[in-house]
Amino acid sequence: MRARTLIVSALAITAVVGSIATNPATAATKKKTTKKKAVVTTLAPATTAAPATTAAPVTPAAPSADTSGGATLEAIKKRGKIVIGTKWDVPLIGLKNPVTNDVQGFDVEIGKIIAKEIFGTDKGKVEWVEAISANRIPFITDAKVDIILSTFSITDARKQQVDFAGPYYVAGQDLLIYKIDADSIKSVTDLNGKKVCAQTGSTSVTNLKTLAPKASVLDLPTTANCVEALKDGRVDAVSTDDTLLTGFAEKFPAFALVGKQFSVEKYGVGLKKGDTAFRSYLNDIVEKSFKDGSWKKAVESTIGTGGLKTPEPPKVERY
Amino acid sequence: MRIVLDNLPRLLRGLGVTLQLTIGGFLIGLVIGTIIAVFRVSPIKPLRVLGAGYVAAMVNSPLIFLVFVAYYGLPKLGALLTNFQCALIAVGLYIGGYVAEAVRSGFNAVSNGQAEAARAIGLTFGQTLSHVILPQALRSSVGPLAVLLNANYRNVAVAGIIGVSEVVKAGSDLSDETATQYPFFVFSFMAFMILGFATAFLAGWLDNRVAVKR
Repeated sequence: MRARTLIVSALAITAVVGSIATNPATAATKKKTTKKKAVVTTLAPATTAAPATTAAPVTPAAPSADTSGGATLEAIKKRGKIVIGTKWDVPLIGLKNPVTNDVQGFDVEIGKIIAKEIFGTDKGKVEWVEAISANRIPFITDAKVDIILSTFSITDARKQQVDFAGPYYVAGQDLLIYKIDADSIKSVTDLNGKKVCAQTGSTSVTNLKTLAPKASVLDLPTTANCVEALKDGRVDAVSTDDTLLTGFAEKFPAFALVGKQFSVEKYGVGLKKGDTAFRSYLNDIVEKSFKDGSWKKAVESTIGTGGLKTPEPPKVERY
Repeated sequence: MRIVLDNLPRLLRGLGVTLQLTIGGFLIGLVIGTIIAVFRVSPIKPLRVLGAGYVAAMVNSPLIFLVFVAYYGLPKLGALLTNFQCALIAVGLYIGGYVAEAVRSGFNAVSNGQAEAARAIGLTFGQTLSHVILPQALRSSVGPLAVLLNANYRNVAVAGIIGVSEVVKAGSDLSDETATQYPFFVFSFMAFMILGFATAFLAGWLDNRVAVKR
């Protein structure tokens, strides 16, 4: 009697799970759920990593070493691979292919250029780690990754906790809206009194709060979450860097970019604070990629296909 | 410490949201859980199966999954609720599964002889339940229910993932903005400690007061 009840309920559950798996909408939600769980587990140690921010960084590298890369490079070479944190859910920037398990996109191409420079090849030499916006700084201070290539804008506030090589690209914040709203939302100031979604812990949130103070800003963990909220009609616009939005505009024809950049986002290679030798080594690689055409190729094969024009390469800022 | 005092209004607002979600969700769960527990002891088999299925589904699914279903799933069915409402529903449904088990254990604590005696004097199932079993069952489940309420304070922290500014999210947003990590988490921790102890103390007092003295 009891056993039978159990079997019946087990069958009912299996049926429910089965129907979820076949429904693409809920299946997508499910995929996100598992991802969020991973985030939660990685976040926990990250909070305990706070002391690393304030502790004096250990860098035994010689100050004169301009191309040697110092102890960090030695450690990476010894390990035989470099650990890079990228986005895994943004088309054309960093997107994990669920079939092949490859990560693809512009940030990934930059990572491959760096790996190639270190090891001579990028095949099997990179360990890709998912780094959502809010995890980028903790991952560096906690030494979970060697470098972060995750549309990581260089800001003074962030420079207090991490160092940046580059910039390797200059993007600008833009808005993704429904095409039918194109008449009512023409610039960021039109968002006053409207709802907009941006990614938790990103510069986009702070920019929106200053430029459209009367807009209500919803923040969700990933840009994909925000696009979902736009689809459901929770918000009127999604705002983040044009590089991140262009892929979504291409994927969903009902959406379009407003096309008025209202910020300057210099993407840098995030690395441990105080690691000057490795930073200047990375700067050399970035500069070299500007000259030998590999950077241009990376842009054109990724964000370029989404409709963004290839800009002039930025000037590397050595500080 | 100073930085916490400077941002106290936002943290307290977050704490308010945490309290609303915890207590609101728990009340919803209490209603659902009691109904499900009654289903599980009812003489009608489909209701028993439904009750068992509900408990199995809630106890075995992560809360975060329910939150996502409410937030990203319901709009596809035409129900667009605010993120607070989504969190409230998810927490209520979730805790309801656990409440059902706690109340059912309360049923088991009432001796069979009482139900038999009630039937012997001609009470129906509904009368037996509402006049004899349920009052005693609820009294003896005060302890387990308080544990669930206590756990619920922490459960609702999951709501931050859909943009509900409860105390943990308020704290982590402030950490991002001010580039200081510890103080805000310490604040959340202290808040949870105080709420937890207060709840446990009240529950202990209530448990003692309403206990079925035999």
